[in-house]
This record gives sequence, C-alpha cells and structure tokens, in this order.
Amino acid sequence: MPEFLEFGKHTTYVVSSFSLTLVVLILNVVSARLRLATRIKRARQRLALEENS
Amino acid sequence: MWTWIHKLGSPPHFYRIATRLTPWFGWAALLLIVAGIYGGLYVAPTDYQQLDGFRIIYVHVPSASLSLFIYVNMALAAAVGLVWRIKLAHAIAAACAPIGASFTFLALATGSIWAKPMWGTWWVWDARLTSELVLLFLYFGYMALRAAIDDENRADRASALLAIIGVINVPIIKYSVDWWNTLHQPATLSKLGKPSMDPDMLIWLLMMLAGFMCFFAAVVLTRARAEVLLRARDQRWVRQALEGR
Repeated sequence: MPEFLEFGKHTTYVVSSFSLTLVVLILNVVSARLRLATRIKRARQRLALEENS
Repeated sequence: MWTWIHKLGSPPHFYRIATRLTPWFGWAALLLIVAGIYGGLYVAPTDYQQLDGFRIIYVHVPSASLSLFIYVNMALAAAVGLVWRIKLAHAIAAACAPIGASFTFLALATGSIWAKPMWGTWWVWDARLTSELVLLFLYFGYMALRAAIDDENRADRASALLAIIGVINVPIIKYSVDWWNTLHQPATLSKLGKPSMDPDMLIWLLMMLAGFMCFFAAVVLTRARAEVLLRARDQRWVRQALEGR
C-alpha cells in the first residue's frame, strides 16, 4: 500500500469507502451521459425519418 | 416570478437552461469533491476516539444526506406532476430515482464498512439502518413500477403516488436516532450553531456536502434532459435544441 494511502489500523476501511464512493460517482456520470447521448441519437434519427417521409 | 416558474415548466426552456447549467454544477462538484477528499483524508486532524476510521464520515454523511434530499425532491416533483399535471415534473422525478438509489446504496455500504471497526459488526437491524434500507427499496419500487407500466401517463401517476406515500419514511430515518435506542451515533450536523464536530474537521464535511449537492444537480439535469427528449411530442423545439447544442 502506498504511504499516502496509509490510515493506521483502519486503512482497509477508509480506502475501500473512498474507492467505492468514487466508483458510484463515476458510474452516475457515465450512465447519465450515456442515457442522454442515446436519447439525442434517437431524436436525431426520428427527425431524419420525418424529413425523409 | 410566476411567469418565470411557468416558463421553466415548458420542456424547451427547461432543456435550454439545463444544458447551460450542467457544466457549471459539474465543475463546481469536481472542485469541491476533490478538495473535500483531500482535506478529509490528509488535512483534518485524527479523531481521538475513532482514529483515522472517522474519515469515512466524509463520504458516508454526504451520501446519506443526499439519499434523503433526493427522495424529498423526487416526491415533491412527483406531487407537482400529479396535482398540476406538469409532465416535466414527472420527468424530473424519474431522473431523481436512480441517482437517489445509488446514494442510498453508498450510504448503506460506507456505513457498513464504518460499522465493522467501530461496532464490531457489518450490520445491525436497528431503526436507522433498517429505515435507510427501506428507502433503498422505495427507490427500487419506484423504478420498477415505472418500468412495469407501458402507458407513460399511468406510469407517472402510479409512481408519483408511491413516491408521495414513501415520504413518511424520511422523518423516520432522520429522527430514528432520537426516537429509538440505537448503536448509530446522533446527527453530526443537526444542532444548528453547535455542531458536534471540531471546526477543522467540519469544514471538509461541509465542502463534501456542497460538492455532492452540485454533483446531484449536474447529474439530475443531464438525466432530466434525456427524459424530456424521450417525452417530446413537438419535434420543432427538439430540432432547434439539438441544432443549437
């Protein structure tokens, strides 16, 4: 374990809590952005279909 | 004021405002959370009783606070949608649910990790922990109900009712540590003017709380934009919005 991640006898608990938090935050951002990108793509396809019809 | 609220209720206007605000909240969240994590891990003094284990508070308390804050927001938006039949409000409520569920899970998980070295166990069925678990199931129930009903209007109404009824759990979670005997420590930030934390520790917790709030704002606005696009019936503003981005 690198020195900057040493928190005495509670190292495992502290590091795992903060790591889990970062994972949840990143997953939230990724899933929200993916969802929006998918909706934008579908909306564009719908608009293109309307134009062609 | 009312004109502004009425204007904000229109999907095109909301979409435009949300697109502009999201990066501001996103960058503010990033700065506050990075500073809060650094301060919480390396600047805040070690607790005399819990030693470095207390540092889990910097992720546990903000996630637990957010789990309740998001639920109240979700229920309020659902109620507005139900009473005034504003579709945008239902879209915001639907956007809140997965974020709220993820922070409730995080509060339970970090609480459990914190409990092991402090209480000697990962879990106890006491009022605070059990009611927080019920909150997670309420979020799951809300999302499952929405997914189970094909008709959008019916899904909005049914899920809104569930969200509103579930609000009863919020004060139970909040005051569970006062109403019942529990292993869980009392609220850290409830005593206005006299917090139970040293200011050198408190400042980083407040920074993390502000960072998490900004994070929620950025993510909910992104998800709400996706919901609004899904529900858009009038294609003209969608075309304008997508061309303008």
